[in-house]
Amino acid sequence: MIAADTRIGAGTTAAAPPAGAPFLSIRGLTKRYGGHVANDSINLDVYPNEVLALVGDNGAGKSTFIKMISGVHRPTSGRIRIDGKDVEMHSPNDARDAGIETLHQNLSLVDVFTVQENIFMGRELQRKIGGLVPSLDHAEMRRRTEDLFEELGLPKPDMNRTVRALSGGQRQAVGIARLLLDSNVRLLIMDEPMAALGVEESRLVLELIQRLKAKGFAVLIISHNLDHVFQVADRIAILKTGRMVGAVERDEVEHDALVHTIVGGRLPDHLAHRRAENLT
Amino acid sequence: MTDIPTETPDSDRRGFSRRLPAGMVPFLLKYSHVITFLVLFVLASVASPFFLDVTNLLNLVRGASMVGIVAVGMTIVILCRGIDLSAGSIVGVAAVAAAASAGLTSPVAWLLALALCTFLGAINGLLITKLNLQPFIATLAMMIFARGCVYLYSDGGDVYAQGADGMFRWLGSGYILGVPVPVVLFVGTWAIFVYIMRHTRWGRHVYAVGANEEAARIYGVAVDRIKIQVYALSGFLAGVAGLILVSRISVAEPNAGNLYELDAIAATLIGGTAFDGGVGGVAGTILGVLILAMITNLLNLMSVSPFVQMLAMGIIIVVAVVVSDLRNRKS
Ligand SMILES: Nc1ncnc2c1ncn2[C@@H]1O[C@H](COP(=O)(O)OP(=O)(O)OP(=O)(O)O)[C@@H](O)[C@H]1O
Ligand SMILES: [Mg+2]
Repeated sequence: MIAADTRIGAGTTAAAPPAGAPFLSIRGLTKRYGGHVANDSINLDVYPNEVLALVGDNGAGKSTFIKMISGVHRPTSGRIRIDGKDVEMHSPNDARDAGIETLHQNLSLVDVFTVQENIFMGRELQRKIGGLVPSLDHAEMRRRTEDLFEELGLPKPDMNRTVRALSGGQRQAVGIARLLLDSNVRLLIMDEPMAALGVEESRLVLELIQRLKAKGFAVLIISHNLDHVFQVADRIAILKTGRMVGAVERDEVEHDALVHTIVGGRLPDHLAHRRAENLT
Repeated sequence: MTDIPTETPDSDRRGFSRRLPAGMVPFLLKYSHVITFLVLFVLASVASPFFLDVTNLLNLVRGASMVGIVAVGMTIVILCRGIDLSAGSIVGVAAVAAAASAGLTSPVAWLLALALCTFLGAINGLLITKLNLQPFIATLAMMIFARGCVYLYSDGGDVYAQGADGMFRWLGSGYILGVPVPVVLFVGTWAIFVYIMRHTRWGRHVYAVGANEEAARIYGVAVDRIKIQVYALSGFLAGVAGLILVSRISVAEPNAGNLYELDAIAATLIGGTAFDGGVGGVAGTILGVLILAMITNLLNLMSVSPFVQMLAMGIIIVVAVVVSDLRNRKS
């Protein structure tokens, strides 16, 4: 179990979603692969400093959805707003600039690179010697890698070994540490970060997610494990065959009701106000 | 040798290492090309009293310098998970282009030839990134196409560097402080790219593309641009080799540079770079080049027939790749 319940008092103001304006606001987001509609007109808000879980069956379109909001795939149609402003994301760098960092399913690390090389891949620190000759700042990258692990309360891994030698949980920690490199990060997206991890390692990642929330980040997490979802999430969004069913507060649903919603693709009547089509 | 740190406690779990002290096997694997080089060096000095002669050594490196420069480019291409079969043909293009334009003064001829070769290399990159061709196929096509251009221009005969000035021959036959110019060019090119690959962002990005292209793309590496640049660079360096080649005799034969790409690939693999990208480096390639050159030299000194030499080369390539595979699996 996660130690601290950070959600005391949540759910007391029944109809209100988390206070304040959403950080990320998605309307009508659609992705077609040829004739196949993988995401069909998705509406969803993500608030600052919440843990939002995205659930749904295999092939429901979860990864497709986060690939669009992390700049990996272009939407076929629809709108993405950040802090109320429309944004176009043409590449992962655009999403990064907008404050969104993503740990993708199965694509997180380069096996033959060291921890430090993985963390800084694509944004290596480079100086110019004498204003002319480019030179990587290995020492500074090492220092910042160590700082990152310290900040996250993680044991420092051996910097000189390739990540292939690490355990699944250690690898996932490196992947997550990587997300925090830029200081302007606001939303962390993780696609099945506990998949293929043992009980103890999953617990570590869940604790890490709680710690990230406590630091003020918003976290969007995809998971098939509903126990994990109930442990870590403030709200739960349900996808069913490419359509967004709705997003509910964690305390509004029981485990069984959530399973029904995932399978049936329909929220119970008393939660009708949480349906995605109510978002405007 | 017992003071080798055992930073990898689990590294000697495999059966074949049981009889060696811990840490010994990773060490031997890691430095297998260095050890091979040293062993060959000692063998050669014992086999011939002339081997250690400075002139002989400089001649040996000079002879290897053209393949060596091509091999530096080839290593970077292979690190990027590619292959450049057209490098030898592009050497030929440079030789003919420089010979044909020698009358315009050497610098102009050199620049023209290098620009042409870089352009051909960039076309390889464009075929691979924009038309999604496999590197093997794109550069095979370029190998045939570029060689065809050479034969077409030269009509199958030699192209003489008419009106060439003194500088033209200097590139292949001159000396800088007593060191042959080709040796300076080879070692200089090698040193520059050892630095670039290790200590610049561009170098890291080449490794990233070679190790995991999809992750590199997601992490913001400009994958296509890196690939195009890598093939353009390989074309450029093949061009430099071609300039040296034509300079030495002031004649471009239409088959100049033929099969250089294969020697360059062999040198890259022997130097410890993995064929499937992302692992290895330019540093080891110089040893690969020199190992190949010394084997030829040594077998010549021992009057072994060139046909047997080819058998030896084949075996050495297999051994080198198996060793580098073991090393990469263990690190
Ligand atoms: N690049 C693609 N080209 C064509 N179809 C795709 C592509 N990516 C995903 N799909 C299809 O889109 C649908 C949604 O896939 P997606 O990967 O988003 O599902 P998911 O909810 O992440 O599933 P899982 O839980 O198995 O990871 C699936 O039917 C899948 O086959
Ligand atoms: Mg998925």
